[in-house]
Order: sequence, then C-alpha cells, then structure tokens
Amino acid sequence: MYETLLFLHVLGAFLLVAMLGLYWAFYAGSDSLVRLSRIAFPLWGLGSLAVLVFGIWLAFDVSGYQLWDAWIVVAIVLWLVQGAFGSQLSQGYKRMADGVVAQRPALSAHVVATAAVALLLIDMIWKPGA
Amino acid sequence: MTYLLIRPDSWNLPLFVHVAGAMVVTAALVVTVGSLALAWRATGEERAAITRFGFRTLLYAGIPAYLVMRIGAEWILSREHIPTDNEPGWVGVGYLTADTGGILILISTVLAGVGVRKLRGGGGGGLAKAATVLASLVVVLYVIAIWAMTTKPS
Repeated sequence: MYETLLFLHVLGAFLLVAMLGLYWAFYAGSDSLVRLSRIAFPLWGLGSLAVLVFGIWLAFDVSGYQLWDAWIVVAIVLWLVQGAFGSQLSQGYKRMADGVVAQRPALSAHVVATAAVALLLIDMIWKPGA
Repeated sequence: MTYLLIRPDSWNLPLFVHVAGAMVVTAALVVTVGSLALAWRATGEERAAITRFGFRTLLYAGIPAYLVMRIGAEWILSREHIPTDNEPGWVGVGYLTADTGGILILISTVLAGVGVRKLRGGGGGGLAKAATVLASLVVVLYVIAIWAMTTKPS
C-alpha cells in the first residue's frame, strides 16, 4: 500500500512540475504554443490533486507521521501557494488560448508557483522537524 | 500501517539533486513533445519556430538536467552502499531507463536539430516527427523509472 501511495504521490509531483515547465514554455515561446494550455490546465489540476490527496493518505498510512507535523503543515501551505498561483497561470493561458485575452500571465506568478514547488520538494526531502 | 523509516541526513542533498534533475528533465521532455507535436500540424515559419523551440528545450534544459539527474543518481547510490555484486532490481531498472533514456534524448536532440535546419529548405518534418516519438518514449521510460524508484521491487 505504502509503495503504491508513494508512487502516485511522486507521479503527481512530476506531472505538476511538467505542467509548470509548459507554463514557462508558454511564457518564453511563441503564441502558438499556448494552444497546449487546453491539455495543460486539466493535467496541472490532476497533478496538484494527486500530490495533495496521496500525500495526506501517506501521512495517515505511515506510523510516525501526523498531519500536524511541522513539515506536513508547511507542505500544505506551500501546496496552497502553488495552487493559487498555478491556477492563475492555468486560467490565464486558457483564456489566452480561447482568444479572450492577449496578454500572458505575469512573470511573478510563474516565479512564485515555481518557487513554491521547489520549496515543497526541499520540504519533502529534508522533512524539517520530523 | 507502514512504519516510519528514517533516512540518514547525509542522503538528503544527493537525493534532492537526483529528484530535482529528474523532474526538470521530465518537464523538458514534456515541453519538447508538446511543441514538436504542435509543429506537425503547423506550416511555414510557425512550424519552424515551434520545432526550433522544442529542439532548444532539449538542448538547453533536457540534456543539462539529465546530467544533473545522472550525477545525483551516482551520488545517492554511493551513499547507500549497495553492494555491486548483489544489486536490487530497482537499481537495475534505474540504470536501464536512465541510460536508454539518455541515448534517446541525444538522438532526439540531433534529429530535432537537423530537422530545424532542413525545415528552412522545406524538408525535415520527418526528422522532427521521429524526435517527437523518441522523446515520448523517454517520458514513458521515466514513468517506469519513477515506479521502480518509489516501489523498489527487489
């Protein structure tokens, strides 16, 4: 059970990072690439949810982890930050692909979402306070 | 209920380098596959621009991240002191997927690069398509690697 949950949790994280990579590509590349946002949006959502759901499930499954452990609380806060900014990117690029807006989401949204995911990875590996 | 296994602190940095490199190389491959696949249906300058973007993503992000992932893998393996004469199956799967993936990334980069050059003369579409297929195959290989690294089959 633990191995399957860990696999799905990590796979979700890889999917999330891949979609962030696509958002950076939309920002740096030509307008044509933004058409990919129609698949990036649902996949980003799927990756985000998988990270959270299987992460919390793991916390319940593993003896010694508690949901209120400092590193898990930090992870949930960072997940919310990446969720808020990642959602802004997803919606922004989808609106751009639909022709509703012509302007890309702000660079700061890309930076904050990426930084939150990088900090999440650091938190998952070092597990401060565990 | 699974019991908690504490990883020595000295493993954290090599593990971070390995996982971060793996995440970036996978992201670079997904961006490459997405852009090269879009180029299949594009025409003229748009097709050349998207193909060039896919090629540059592999060259400037995919290959460096692959090297970081691979160096991180050797680093963490050296910390784990796994006997070379009795390697567990997941280490073998890791080597196989990483090394096969590395070769395919190099071939994809060359194919996409030559394809970009040939697109200027009107050809090269087939090469870019081949690069797309190979890069997609590497993504599949890396999903297998993620499965092996997390479930650690004997």
